[in-house]
Amino acid sequence: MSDAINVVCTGMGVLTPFDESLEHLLTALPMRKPLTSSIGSVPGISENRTGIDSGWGSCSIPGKLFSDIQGSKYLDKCTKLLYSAVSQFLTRKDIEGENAEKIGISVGTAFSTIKDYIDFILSFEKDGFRGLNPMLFPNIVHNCPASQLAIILKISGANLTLTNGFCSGLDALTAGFELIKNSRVTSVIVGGVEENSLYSSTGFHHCLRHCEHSSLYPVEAAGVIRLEEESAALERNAVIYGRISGYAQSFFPGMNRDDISWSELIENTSYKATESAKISFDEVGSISLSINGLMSPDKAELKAVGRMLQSSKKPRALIALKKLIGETSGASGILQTIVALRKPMIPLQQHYHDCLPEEFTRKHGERLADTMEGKYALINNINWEGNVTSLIVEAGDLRKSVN
Amino acid sequence: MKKTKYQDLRGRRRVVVTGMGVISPVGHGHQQFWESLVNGKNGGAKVVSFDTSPFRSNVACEVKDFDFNKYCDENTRNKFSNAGRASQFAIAAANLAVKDANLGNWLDTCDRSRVGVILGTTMGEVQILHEIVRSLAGSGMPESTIYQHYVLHNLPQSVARHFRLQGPCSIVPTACASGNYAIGMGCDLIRNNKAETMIVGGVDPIDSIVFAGFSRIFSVAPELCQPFDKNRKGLLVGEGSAILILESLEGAVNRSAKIYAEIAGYGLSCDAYHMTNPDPNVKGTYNAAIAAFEDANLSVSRVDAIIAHGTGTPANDRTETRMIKKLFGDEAYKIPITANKSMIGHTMGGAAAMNAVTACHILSDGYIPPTINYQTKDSECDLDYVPNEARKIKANLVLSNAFAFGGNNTAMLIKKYEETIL
Repeated sequence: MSDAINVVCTGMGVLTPFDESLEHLLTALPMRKPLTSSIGSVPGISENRTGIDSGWGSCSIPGKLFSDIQGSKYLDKCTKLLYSAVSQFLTRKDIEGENAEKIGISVGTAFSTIKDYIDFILSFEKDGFRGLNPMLFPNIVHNCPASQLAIILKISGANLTLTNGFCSGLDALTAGFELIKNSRVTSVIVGGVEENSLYSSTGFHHCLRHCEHSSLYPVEAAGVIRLEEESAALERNAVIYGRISGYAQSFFPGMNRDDISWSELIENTSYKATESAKISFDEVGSISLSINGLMSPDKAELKAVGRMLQSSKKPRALIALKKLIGETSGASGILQTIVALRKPMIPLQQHYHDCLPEEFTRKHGERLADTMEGKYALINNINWEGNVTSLIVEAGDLRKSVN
Repeated sequence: MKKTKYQDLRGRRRVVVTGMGVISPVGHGHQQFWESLVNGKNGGAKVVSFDTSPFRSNVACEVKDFDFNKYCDENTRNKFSNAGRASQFAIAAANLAVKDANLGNWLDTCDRSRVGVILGTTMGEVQILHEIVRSLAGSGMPESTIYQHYVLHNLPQSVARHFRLQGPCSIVPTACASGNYAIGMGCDLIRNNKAETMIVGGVDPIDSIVFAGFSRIFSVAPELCQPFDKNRKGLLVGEGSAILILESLEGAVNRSAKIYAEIAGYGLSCDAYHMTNPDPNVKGTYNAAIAAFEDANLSVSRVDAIIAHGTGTPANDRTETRMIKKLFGDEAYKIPITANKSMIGHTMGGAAAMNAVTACHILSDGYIPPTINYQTKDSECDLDYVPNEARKIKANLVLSNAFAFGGNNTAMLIKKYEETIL
């Protein structure tokens, strides 16, 4: 891995239930627009049998985007969500002048094309082998969205898919970062995506009820950013939104007598991310939390962050994006990164105080409503079953400082 | 800074293979797996795990005689007794690999935040999803606990939990090339000093839905898998898991570990052409191989053997042969090529990792396994596929190909370990 290669973000797009563009999302954030809408149904499974009584936030996909794509009627929804987000800043024409073999794609998704997967199984159960549509078999492999995106955009560099639950987005981003740092490609389209589906909804509902968790609100979304070698970005005078400075990943294997606690692991991972970025924690101006309403990971994260803040003199802005827009699973890490790089106004964060240690609330509680501030942001993704990823980004147009 | 023997020519930490574990259709444990390959054992048989009467074929390469209890202690048995077949395969193979690497005591005392797991898969716990959907579509609700067994990240997490590891833990579901992705990404984590030791590999189980899918796109052979044969009719669906222990060379030497081979480099690319058909111009697969040689800082002339993706489908074998010819020119005719899928079937997520285990044995044992069921030469596939009988070989560098749905291409270079860099 080369220290000489810096990785910057030169493009971004999102598709959320808020609206069809990033600017709308950034505008809508402080307004706390409600997201509830009806859940996508699955043929053959009655909704009233699933026990789900609340809807997901669902995206509206701009259909016109797909009119000139061959075979678009067989495209899965994740691909459509991703392409809708990408097309806000990048088309095939934009990269025609570049070496497509040196551009990669890295996609994070918790459940990928789960709806097509279930439809395929249902079709097999109902109509048998001969009733299966062969055109839909490729849709049930988890790397389908990343591969379809490559086919649509004619991008032939390394193509990755990662499915690490709520960490999928940040893990796809760090994998893309590594592809550039290791000189495998010069640029990577990094996407995070999640489609709504009855499976994930019933899964969350039943798993979380089983675990006595209840307040997670799953939302469909896609977020895409373009990572690029800084030198290449500067050469083509690209807009630079910020730099990816470093990261760390860990896993909490569960309680054992000699194991550290989950909060200690999260704390260690955050510090390791700052080490990787070659900065001190005091240089971190804002923290984008992973908290989403799940009791154990939320408590662990807030305890970790509480300890880190208590050991530091400087106050920081804390942002809990998922409490505003819901849990977008595979997309969440990308959306958090985009918001951290764009530094929009963030409204008062609700529901913190119940989870925060008392002494932490006394000391920092009044600082919870804030704008994102400072040069560096720490972004956390914590999966419900133990994965922890911490990313450090440096926000701002770096062309000014470099020039 | 002066380079040490623990660094490669680019100054990166060298990464070696110190342990292997296999659960396969032709035997469990890497030694039994290897002996079966060298002896040309055919792992195909009539499917017993589901009803094949609706299908045109009833043959697959299932894992036989698998008893999860044999591979774990009572605690693990209790913890993972309800886990899916893929998780059980992966835990069993990981247990075998850790034992083979003699890592047990070391794991008790090491910094476990420096040890991680990366696995590849195509379908994950497809049997569990199948069961959930059957329940949802039928009369009863699925057990609430079953959901957590399906999610893909549960596969590496099961292994990490079993060994109480705290390092990076990921699943790379890049279909049938995913094993090479897992090995490559694990290798990079060690090279870049983000980990000391990585448990890497791949896994997939067979389910009727997988069988149906491959059958529906006319990829399944009726009886035999015959890679590169003129009359090849497709693949046999396989299942299993292969796990490798990757370590920094320095760490391996310090703990006096047995070193099977060194990971020289790997390459990734995408056809960006079609979801299931390989690009006939072989640009993507060729680029993956070139990237591997660049990563390894080695010239193509150094390759002594090739483990082909070799699925036995007409299109794959034709284009792979074309790619090998493009890569090696006239030298392609002199390099022995083996297709172990003729014996173990297409184990999907497990395939590339099984190739890597095969490569380690080729380097250390001096034999290349045969491509069995080879009967008739194809004018478009006219290279040396080591037909039907294993052959003695002196190999220092092996190229292992793995390609996947979506045109996700990988090439892995594994070389004989020498103290000084070859």
